[in-house]
Amino acid sequence: MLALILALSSGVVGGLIVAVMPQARSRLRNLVVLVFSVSGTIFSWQVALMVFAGENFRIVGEFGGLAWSLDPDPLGAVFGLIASTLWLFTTVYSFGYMAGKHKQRTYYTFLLISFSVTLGVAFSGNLVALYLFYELLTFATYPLVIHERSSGAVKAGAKYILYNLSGAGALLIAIVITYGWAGNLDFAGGPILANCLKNGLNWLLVLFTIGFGVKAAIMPLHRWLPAAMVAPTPVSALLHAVAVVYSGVYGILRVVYSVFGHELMAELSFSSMLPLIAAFTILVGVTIATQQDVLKRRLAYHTISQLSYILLGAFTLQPSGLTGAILHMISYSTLKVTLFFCAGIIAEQTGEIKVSKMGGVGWSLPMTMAAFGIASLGMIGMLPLNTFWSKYYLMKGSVAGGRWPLALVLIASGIINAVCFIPTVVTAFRGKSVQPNAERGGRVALMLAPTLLLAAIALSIGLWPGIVWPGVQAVVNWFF
Amino acid sequence: MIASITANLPVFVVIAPLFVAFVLPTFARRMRLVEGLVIFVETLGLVGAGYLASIVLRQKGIPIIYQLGGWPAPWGIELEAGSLGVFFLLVIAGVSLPVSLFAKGNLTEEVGSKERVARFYVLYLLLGGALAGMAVTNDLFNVFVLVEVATLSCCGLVSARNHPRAAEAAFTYLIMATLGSTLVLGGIGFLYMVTGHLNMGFASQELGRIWQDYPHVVWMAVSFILVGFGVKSAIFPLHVWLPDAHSTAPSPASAILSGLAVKGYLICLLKFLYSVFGPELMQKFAVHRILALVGAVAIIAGSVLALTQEELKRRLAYSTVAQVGYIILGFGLVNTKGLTGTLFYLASHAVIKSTLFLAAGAMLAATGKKNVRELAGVGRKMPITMAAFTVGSLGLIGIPLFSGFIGKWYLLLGSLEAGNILSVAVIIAGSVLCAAYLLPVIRGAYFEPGPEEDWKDPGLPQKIALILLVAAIVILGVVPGPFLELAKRAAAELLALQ
Amino acid sequence: MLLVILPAIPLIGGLFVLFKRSRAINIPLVTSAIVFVLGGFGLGNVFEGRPLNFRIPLSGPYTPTFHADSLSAIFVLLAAFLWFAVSIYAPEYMKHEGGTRRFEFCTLLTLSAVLGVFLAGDLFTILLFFELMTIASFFWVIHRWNKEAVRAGYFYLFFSIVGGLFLALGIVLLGAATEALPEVGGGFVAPLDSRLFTWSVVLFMAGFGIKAGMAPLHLWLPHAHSVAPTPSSALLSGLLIKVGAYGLIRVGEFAGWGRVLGSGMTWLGPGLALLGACTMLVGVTAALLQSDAKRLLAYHSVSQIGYIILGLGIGLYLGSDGGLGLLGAIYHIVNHALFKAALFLGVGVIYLHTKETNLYNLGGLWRRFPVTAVLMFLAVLGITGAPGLNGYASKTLLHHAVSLAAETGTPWVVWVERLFLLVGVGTTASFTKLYYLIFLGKPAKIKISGGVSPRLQLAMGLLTAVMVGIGLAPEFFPNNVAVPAA
Repeated sequence: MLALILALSSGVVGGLIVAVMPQARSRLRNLVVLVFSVSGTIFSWQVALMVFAGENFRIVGEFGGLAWSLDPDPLGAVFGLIASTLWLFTTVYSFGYMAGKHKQRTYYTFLLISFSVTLGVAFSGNLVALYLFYELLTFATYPLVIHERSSGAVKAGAKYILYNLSGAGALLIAIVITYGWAGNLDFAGGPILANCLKNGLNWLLVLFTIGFGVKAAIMPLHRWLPAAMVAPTPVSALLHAVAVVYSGVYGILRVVYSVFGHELMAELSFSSMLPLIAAFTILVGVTIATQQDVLKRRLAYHTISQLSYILLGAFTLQPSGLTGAILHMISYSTLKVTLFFCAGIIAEQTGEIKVSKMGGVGWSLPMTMAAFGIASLGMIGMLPLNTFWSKYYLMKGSVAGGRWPLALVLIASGIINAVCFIPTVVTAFRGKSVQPNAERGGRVALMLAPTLLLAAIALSIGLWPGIVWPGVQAVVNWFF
Repeated sequence: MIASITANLPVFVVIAPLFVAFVLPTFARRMRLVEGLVIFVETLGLVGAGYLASIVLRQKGIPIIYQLGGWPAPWGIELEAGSLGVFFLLVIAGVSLPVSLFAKGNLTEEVGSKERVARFYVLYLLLGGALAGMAVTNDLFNVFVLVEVATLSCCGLVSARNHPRAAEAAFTYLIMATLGSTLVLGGIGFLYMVTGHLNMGFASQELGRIWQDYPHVVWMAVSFILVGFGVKSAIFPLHVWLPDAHSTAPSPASAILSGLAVKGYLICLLKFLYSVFGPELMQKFAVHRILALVGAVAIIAGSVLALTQEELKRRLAYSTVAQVGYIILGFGLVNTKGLTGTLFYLASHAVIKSTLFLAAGAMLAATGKKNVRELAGVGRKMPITMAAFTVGSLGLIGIPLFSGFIGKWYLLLGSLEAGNILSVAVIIAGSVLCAAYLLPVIRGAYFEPGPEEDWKDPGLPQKIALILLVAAIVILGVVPGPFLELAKRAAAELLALQ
Repeated sequence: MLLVILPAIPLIGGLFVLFKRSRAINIPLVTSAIVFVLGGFGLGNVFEGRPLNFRIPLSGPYTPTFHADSLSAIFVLLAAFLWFAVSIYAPEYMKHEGGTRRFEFCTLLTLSAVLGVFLAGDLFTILLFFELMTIASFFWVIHRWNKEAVRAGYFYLFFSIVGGLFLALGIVLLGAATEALPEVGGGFVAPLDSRLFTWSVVLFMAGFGIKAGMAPLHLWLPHAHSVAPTPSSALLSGLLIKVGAYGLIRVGEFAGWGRVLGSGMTWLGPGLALLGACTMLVGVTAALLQSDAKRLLAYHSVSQIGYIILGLGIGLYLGSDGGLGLLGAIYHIVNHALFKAALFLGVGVIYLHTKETNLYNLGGLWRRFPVTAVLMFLAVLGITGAPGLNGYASKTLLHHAVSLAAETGTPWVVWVERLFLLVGVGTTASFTKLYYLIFLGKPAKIKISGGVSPRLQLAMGLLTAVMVGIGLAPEFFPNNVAVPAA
């Protein structure tokens, strides 16, 4: 119980402390940020491990007659784990990336606050709490999106808010309807709508999908994501490749498994369209990605595509599909953060943001490009990277559900992913380098270390998927 | 002793401000005394309202009836402090007190001179008393009287500033409000003609019996009342006087006008619709559909118009038009949840809009600017003010943890129960639009660099006022407990009649 | 335990290459020697029918298993030997080519991966090492980093990636079709759902076939093998495509080798045979049209793989009588590895000293390179199936298998037999052309630099020696080695 509270409050408390610290004391501030990130991470791990071991703890409250609760279950625990671990990596990376840049205090304040809010999403025990944290997340991350304060950033921020609030609106309607029909909104104790036979269930599913789909970047609700790439790279990496978008993905997983339940879902006609929507997003997303020249935008569209992998797994309504989805949540996040980190290092050390101009970059930044290369192989879904396992189970789930064309979609997507990334890596090693060995220096070390460590972790999980297997199994057993 | 105070409380809360209002001009020169008296009577009002509320809650909703002059109904004027009445009393008191605090020491620049300040307070208290009366009255003609008093006070308040635009706005308001009053009087006249009663309770009973004999008259009455109060509450498209009026008035006045005055008329309308006509009659005449539709249009139109405004106070004024739309839409939901929602939303908006206008006023006064764009960087220089504005905005948008969310939640539940999907969509769309016209202000204030000017937070009483209001927004959002209970009871009462 | 050590040795060697400064020791040579010796001793027993198994007990859905039976042992030893020979050759060659260190590193990594494939005990492990092999050998292909090399590299990589994806899907379908995923070397698996099983076998065939160079998935091969530096071309053609063949054999194993196939799978044998025949034909036809020596050799690799695949197909088709085909195929794998490697090395020698691979620019070189000419001649004899050398033995076996099948009278088999002979003729013609244009004929007007280093000749010599040895004692191999494998 205490662990839960501490995990959730670490970020907020840290953020508020940073907010009132004087601007000049950057070393002290970094220390404070690190301390609170670590604390949040440690306590999240503690919560997660306890949940996997079968322990149960809730915090409940009420406002306005509406009950909210925090009640981590295996799915929430997995999400919390991913978020907190990657937050820690991003924090260290930020120390390198943001050194010497403007508005660091605002940045770190909201980075920490967003951490707490994301954990709130992960650990929420009913739809009310989920909605609350989901809405707050939009606002907590807004200052990070507009960080650069350029006109592009402000416009991106406006788009961000507009899309997200509209989604939240749809979500609110869906929650109200659910409340009206089911009377309770708790996740524990079986799917909420399990015994509910009403005519509008399909529409309700549509509403929920729109509501969470904005953050999960399902096409065509995805347009805020490429625009949000104006944010600093650590923000893009963490929030828009992991935390914020995973909140949306998490929401959809909750809808499918905790609100409707896989048995009810199988009976709804809209739910058979969902895998198609996911498949569409997978293919179209990565295809658009291939055409982008600005590296971060390429990664953004690629994110959109990869998120739908997770959703596809969830929509198969099969244990193996869900296994694949959870595995992909874990695997993909490590790799995408690695890719973004590499992009950031390249941009910072060489000034290049366009892929077409990155010839020879590999010789200046060999370790960075090596990490990029490893992550690229992962995006294709090749062994020895961890995404092989998620793809394997995703394909298994597709076949088990009788929808084997989805497996073909995954294969096709793998090929397009190869087209998207391999040339970038190869080109990076052709031609002369612009400057020799740009990987020296403390600042770069702070950026490079987390990158390499993440790539190594991805490889380890790839060779030994058993590392994450207990968590994955816990989630699947919870719902099936 | 206690019993007699309790029994007389309904009339006290109405009379006290009126009394002080009359007495005030004698102390015109002594500002401190004037302000102190005002605050004193407001505090008394709050205490009284609170006490009444607690009694009513304990009595499980049985109202406290007071008969003026001891004359029993149907000949005398009856005051009924039931759940609805008490609810609104709390709202009035809860909002006017902080506003008066804010006005302390602030008014002289805006209004002109000390005498004018005293006159301002006279009108202010008159309005307060009239609103309190509207809350508890149970007599048709009494309503009209109070409405007139309120209207004239409002007019005065609008023109308080020494400004040509203010005079123009006040004049427009006067014309339109009088038109409204005439229509209201006409409606009351029709009702009296047909029922022979002026007491709301008796009139509604009678109406229930004989309306089929005079359907056209009843229909005329309904329409007149609707349009009449519609003008006064600035229901779209009868709202045209409001933006000018509320934006040119001094800030405390804008707060009261948008926050309370408009609500008073809405409460009267509510009483008419539900206590006099009754839900059955409303549905037979499809009034509820009209209300829902008009409300929906108002929400969208008001929000869109607000988006187009460059001046901050005008933007807030159009926002009021939109929010009134929410309340009207709620009126059209003839079920408990919907009415609970609309009442709670009404209260929530009262607090929020006052906060917004006061904060806006402080910012505009400190910076000397008027437009939203010119307020860049204000957030850092005037943190408390801007924080209040932010909380108010978030509450208005409907973010959970703030009062607006509770109101919207119940409105949504009510709309779904009534099967009104359009309302559901409009409620949400309204929130998004609200974000669209409020969030850029906040963004500009906090995230854009401002000029190197010496802008400061207003003085202590103003800060306390803002903090009180913000606290109210949050408390209502997180632990609305008894307040929500009152709203629910009021809704139930309104529906149970007839 | 040995089974994990064997692939690990080259890996360690690779690390040495990366971090050591001096070039004194020829690390790949040493490493492959160690592997060969260790493998020979350690795996000797498996030929008597006692396979080795090893499991790394990791938690979770994947427990890496390693397995060695006769088939694995053959391939392991073949790989080690081939690497050994090429490692004698490589340092000298790479001195002229450049980029020795990364070349050696890739070579060792590839060896490690290849050994891993051969010693893998379950499908995931095969796939893992398969992918590692792709990545490592990719760097061979793009070694020169010029436009041509990069293009060929992309071709190679993309085809291989697709192959890997097909294999992954194949595993998925196999898992759905059977109760548990079969272990490599575990024998026949009875499927629960024959449709899924069929599809999974198709996918496996496609996946391994891409790597093997089976038509029509062979398109990457000529470019990749010709653009890589010669030592790696030798290994690519010599061994890497055999990895694909190895995969096909293993697939055949659980599809039902040596028995009459179930109703869903009767097409497998004929299918493979036909594909093999097409491959043979496509390869030799294209080879005849080539003017570049290395491309010519590459297309011949396609053609020879076709032989192997044909053998496999016939073996499956004939069911319980199919041992001959399988035997021939395995035998041919070994033989082709030897002579193809020798051929490439020879062409490499020429290239090194003349900077030319275009046949029409060469000629009359037997004077300058007498030793090379003799050794090449022996290799040519081998590949054309001339009696006295190893190729004769394996080609004869294959021909016997095809004839046996043709006796059944089914029309397509009869055509295949005719094709077999035709391709044989074509091969001979092509190599005659090659040899003539390089060594005989009018002396070309090209600059020839330096003398041939003895190392290069030694490498070739070693290979040819084995070829001759096998040729003179053809029974040794099948009796002691291949038959147990079949």
